[in-house]
Amino acid sequence: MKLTALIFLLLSFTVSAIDTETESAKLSLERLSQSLKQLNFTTSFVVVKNNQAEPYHWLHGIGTNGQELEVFTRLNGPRRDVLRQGDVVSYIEPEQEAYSLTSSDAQSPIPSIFRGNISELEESYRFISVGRSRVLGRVAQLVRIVAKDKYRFSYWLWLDQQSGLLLKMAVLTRQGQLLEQIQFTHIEVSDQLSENLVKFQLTELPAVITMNNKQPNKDLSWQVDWLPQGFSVIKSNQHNLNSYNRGDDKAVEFMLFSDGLAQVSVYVNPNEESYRAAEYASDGATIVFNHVIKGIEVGVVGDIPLETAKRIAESIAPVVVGNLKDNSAPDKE
Amino acid sequence: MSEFKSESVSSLVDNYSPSTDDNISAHLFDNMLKDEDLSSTWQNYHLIGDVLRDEVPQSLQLDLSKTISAAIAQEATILSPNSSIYSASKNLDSSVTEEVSTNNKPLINDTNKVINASNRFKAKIATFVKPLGQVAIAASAAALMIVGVQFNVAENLSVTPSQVVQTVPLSGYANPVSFSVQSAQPEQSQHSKQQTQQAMDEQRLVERVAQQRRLQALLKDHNQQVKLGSNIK
Repeated sequence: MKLTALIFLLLSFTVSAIDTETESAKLSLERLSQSLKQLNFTTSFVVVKNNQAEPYHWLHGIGTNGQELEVFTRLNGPRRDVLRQGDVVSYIEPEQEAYSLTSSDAQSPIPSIFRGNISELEESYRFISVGRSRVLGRVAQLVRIVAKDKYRFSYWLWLDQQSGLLLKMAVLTRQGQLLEQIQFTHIEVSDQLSENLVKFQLTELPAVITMNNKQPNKDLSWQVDWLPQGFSVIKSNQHNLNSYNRGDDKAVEFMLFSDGLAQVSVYVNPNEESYRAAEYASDGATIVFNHVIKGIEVGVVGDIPLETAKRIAESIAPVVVGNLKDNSAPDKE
Repeated sequence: MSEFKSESVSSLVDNYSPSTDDNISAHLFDNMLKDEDLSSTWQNYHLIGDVLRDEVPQSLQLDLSKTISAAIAQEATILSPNSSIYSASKNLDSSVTEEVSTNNKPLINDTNKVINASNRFKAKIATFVKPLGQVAIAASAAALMIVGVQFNVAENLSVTPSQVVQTVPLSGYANPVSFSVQSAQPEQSQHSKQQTQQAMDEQRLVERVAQQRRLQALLKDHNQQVKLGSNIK
């Protein structure tokens, strides 16, 4: 892996002149990706949003059999853990029984793309290496992931010069308004697997649930006509939306889009009301948008600006060739 | 004249006044103080007397007056600004000794010892007192700080409980609780504000709660779907 890094380094030298800032930024991000996958580290961080601070522990390491071990633990309130052993990810949450999935991504406050292929982001974002500063008592390289258009947010990352790990992250609007922040409060990189992970290695995760993903997309009766460039469908299905009014579950058509960094859910369902004004709420960088127009309720949730959510919701149109009302096989949540 | 003077001095040493007239004896004293010969005679007579009475001290210090005056002279010059430096550096100390000894007065060395002793004592006191003073200052500053901290703590006590209550989400699921729900259309929100201000309409409240629930359900499902979504990739 060091060899690949070296090759990238050499490549960057040959390309050099044109976009040194972008290149060095990309190198930093690739280093981050490598570090997140390969290092044994024990960290603590705080997610700051909605005037609240949520502390987390984050452990990562390579087990004796070579598989990645990862633990995210929220420290305040009821337990909310994400555990990962290789390709099995378990979620322990207060509102339902623990379950496992087959996935290499642990969904956590840290966007999983940072562990993946950074170049996937290049379609929608620019990378800019800005300069150095001091974060967590370390020398940090500031890299901005700037949205190419006004339909999404920008991300600032402070990366440790020494280990390449994340030290701080901020989500900002195009106008520079801070929406969400992740500040690391402790970082420890070690050669050996930490004690907690050695124990975790031996624990058995909850049973993996299998999902029926065979529902074809064309079953949907509604489609999104407009999306910002770079967003693509990750999945779509029909399932029951559990609202808090008990027994008032409603079947929705659901689509999940992603541009690599921001993920957007779109919900469509018929409603008895013919019109309800748009309502929205924000949770840090995540916007929740909902309205009813002509008896059709549309919900949009994602890390996008309000205007984008509104525009996506307004672009909902019936699929021209399609059969309506196929709520028969709701997906298990 | 001098004969008479020595005689009178002698009688004075022996505690006999040479003359019954006080004026004369006073005059004699004055003369003796002014005349060096006479004063040395006075000293010698005393010394002779001491020797005769076998009252000579073990270390014979002749000419004490000179020593004392020299000591005074030394004190005046050394003690003023240099005392601390003097005490601090032995080098200076020895240089002074040398300087004094170059005067070739054998007794001055002794004098110097006396001075040194006194100076050392002063220096000791100075070095002792100085840290004491610093300690005292530090202590008082610490005391102030403690008082200040205690004061702050006392002040914070009234504030912290409510902060703690605010930061720990009651439901455990922080996000929905902290929602800032707004209506998208400004005119509508103004209307609603006026309405709620006029009368806390229950209908409105119910509507609010329903809206909150809808949005919470969406957010919850979104988070869930994002987790499950990674399953498919």
